[in-house]
Amino acid sequence: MSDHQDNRETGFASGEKSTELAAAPGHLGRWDFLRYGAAAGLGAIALLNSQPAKATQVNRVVTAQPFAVSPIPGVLDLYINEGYLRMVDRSLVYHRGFGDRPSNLNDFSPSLAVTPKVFTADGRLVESRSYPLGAPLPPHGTPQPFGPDPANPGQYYIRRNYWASYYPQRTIIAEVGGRIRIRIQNRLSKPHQFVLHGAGPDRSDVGTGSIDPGGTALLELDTPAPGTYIYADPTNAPVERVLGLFGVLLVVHPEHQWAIGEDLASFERQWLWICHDVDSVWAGIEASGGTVDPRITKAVPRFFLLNGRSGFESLGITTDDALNLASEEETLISGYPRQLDVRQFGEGSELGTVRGGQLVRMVNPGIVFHQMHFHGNHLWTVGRNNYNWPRRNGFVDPEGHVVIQQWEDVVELEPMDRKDCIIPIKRPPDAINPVWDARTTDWEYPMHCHAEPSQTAAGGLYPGGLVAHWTLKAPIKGAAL
Amino acid sequence: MSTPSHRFRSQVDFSSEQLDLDNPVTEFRQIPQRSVALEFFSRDLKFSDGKIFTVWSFESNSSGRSLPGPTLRPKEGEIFHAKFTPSKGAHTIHWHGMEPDPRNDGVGHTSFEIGGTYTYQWQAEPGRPGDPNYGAAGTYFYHCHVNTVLHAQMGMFGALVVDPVVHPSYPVSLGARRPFVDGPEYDIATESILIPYSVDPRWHKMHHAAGLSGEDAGLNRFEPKHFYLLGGNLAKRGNTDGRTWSLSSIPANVVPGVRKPTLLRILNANYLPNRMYFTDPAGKPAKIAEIIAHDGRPFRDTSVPGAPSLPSGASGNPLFTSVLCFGAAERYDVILRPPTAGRYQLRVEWEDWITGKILAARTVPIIAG
Repeated sequence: MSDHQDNRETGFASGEKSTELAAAPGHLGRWDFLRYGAAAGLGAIALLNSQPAKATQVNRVVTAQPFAVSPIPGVLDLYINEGYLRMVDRSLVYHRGFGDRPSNLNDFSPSLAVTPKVFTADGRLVESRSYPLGAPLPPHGTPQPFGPDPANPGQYYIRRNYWASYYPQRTIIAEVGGRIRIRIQNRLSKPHQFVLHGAGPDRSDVGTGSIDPGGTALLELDTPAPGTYIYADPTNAPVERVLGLFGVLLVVHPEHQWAIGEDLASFERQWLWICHDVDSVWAGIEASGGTVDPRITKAVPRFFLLNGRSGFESLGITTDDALNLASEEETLISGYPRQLDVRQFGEGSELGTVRGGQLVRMVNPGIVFHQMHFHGNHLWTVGRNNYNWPRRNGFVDPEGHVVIQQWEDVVELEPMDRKDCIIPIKRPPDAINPVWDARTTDWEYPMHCHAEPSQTAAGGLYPGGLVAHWTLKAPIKGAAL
Repeated sequence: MSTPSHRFRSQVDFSSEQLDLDNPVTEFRQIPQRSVALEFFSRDLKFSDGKIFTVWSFESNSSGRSLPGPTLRPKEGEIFHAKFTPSKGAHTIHWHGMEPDPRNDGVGHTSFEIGGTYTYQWQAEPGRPGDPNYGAAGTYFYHCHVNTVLHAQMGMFGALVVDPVVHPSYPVSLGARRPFVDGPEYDIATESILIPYSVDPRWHKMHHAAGLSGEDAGLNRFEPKHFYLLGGNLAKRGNTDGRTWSLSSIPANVVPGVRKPTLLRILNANYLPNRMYFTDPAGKPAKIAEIIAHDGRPFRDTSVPGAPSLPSGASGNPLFTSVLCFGAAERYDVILRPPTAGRYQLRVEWEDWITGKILAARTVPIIAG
């Protein structure tokens, strides 16, 4: 029992070698966690005496000490690493990822995602969880209002072009006018790639090509047009992406940092939501040296994540203050109620409205058709895959999607899709007046994927999957008119 | 109450320790203009292909036990009450797409689950002609939000249609209605709803709290074996006690004609993407579907700030199509505009939620006359 608990809570025993996937008889090893990951939190003890030690064949580059390449000014070094991540049910699942420091399989805290970095227009590379650089940080992620809206009691004017936004792990930001310079080192035993999907000429993919084990490649390009781009390893697609080799490039025009782009919708702050689905069986095959054939081993995701978290961890209601705060800053949308007109989000104007919403950029590097459902407010969808939707003369595309800016309470998010939506953060329209007028507390509303199997973890534990909420902040005492 | 401040040590604790209140109070209770009493039921129901599955759903005093639950139809501006008395464990009702305060939103972890009885209260926001910021009229559904992945699949849902206020500038002809305040008139007698639904038989043998204690119930694997088109003519559901309400054909008025055109409401009540194709009597794609609204909100021309935003059709840009794609929980409102009488067809496909592969298809005739 104690060995098992130690492994779960503190990572792997310090004496473990990186290639020792098999456990000694009577002990629960890493391989066992993979195979029985979902049961590890509950029934793992039964496995100790009932399962024989599992022989594994592992073939990977092993280094006694992590090593880093010599840094080059203005160049982002990414390392293709592997390691184990703890899922929301506390099981450990093998992952790969683009980290920003070298790490090894047996590291307690492997580097499998980049801490947000910014390529500035003037050629600098800056590590920052927030952007625009130097903008005030919203407390707990919540932009504070400018002041009461005299025309709408209980509601507020927002501050325009003021608050920074926080970004989740795996985010790379680049400013238009600059260059993106990324050096990728493959620390694993198979060839890998780094590809920026749609960031090349005419929206083509641009990437490193295959990088041999131990090899390094440099990718350099002019920053593409403003928008969101998925970076991933397309090798054996979608397997390497599912294993964790993905992230998001967010491109911003430095003169329009609070807008999707020039003459496009502006916002109070923005949120970048990155979806991911984890298949433990695929992870187990790859961890043991095999190669997944997705045609033979059908994907069966077992964990569903938003910005790297699931269930109560994504909702920020754990006993870990730091984790809760990170969720509040990066994921859990919040703001003060404001009046809003969807006909004007400040497109093409100097000042725009003082009653704008917040932007939610939903990105799906996962493999599930997600259906992002918001309670409390409909969202106004302004574009898909860096195409701004028209406000008039809409159409239905050949696949059957309606292309015009529109209200939605469920936002379709196909694999590799990116949607830009404005959440108004307005009074929930169907609340009765006396209840609204008597409001003294925050009102919280769920956001969840309505492809409901994504609301599970390890086959159950509802709501333990791709879930979040958003908060309509309570009136500020003395400020509301 | 509306702000969950409790912290949890584990996901198991969170999943299994939702706040369960016997008889929570309806705050600022008003006199309703529309009310319904709903109860939970569990029974074996006969589906259109003769198959029988255990279904959990809602019933009212007059609805009988069927799937989907009774169609609810309040109007904009009305105070709506739904007195809900669950049984066999706690349940809630979430009014999907309606946006009341959290206590009336029907989600356990942001308010409470109901052990005894609770009366939900909300007021659908009235629409204003030409204004894209107001108005709730449209197609919705209601469903249980407890262990939702299981309870919604078990059948705990029903259609919710919000009718618009009538504005003096947009009067309504005899026998007709509008889908939203300044929307096009449609024929009440032929108004229909189509609800794709599918059944994974393995799930229909589970218990109320399956998976919540951390056991692997396999609820990440939705593998339906049976595919259905629920729904039918909204004015003529009739007695469906003991069986599902199933769509076998869709009437459609030829336009232009004496009668107003037919409105088809669409609700995806399963967990898979659906795609539908309209074809003419010769089997060729037929752009007879004018898409007028999505998720309870009309498509409008919003290109001029401060100016009236006309519905897409009225602005000279109707959204005609022969194909429509829609995923879980989405709703679309479609005006059918067949130019001639005859037997058109609507083919509905279900797709795998990962690969997009077509899993099944069902076809129903559209009888244009």
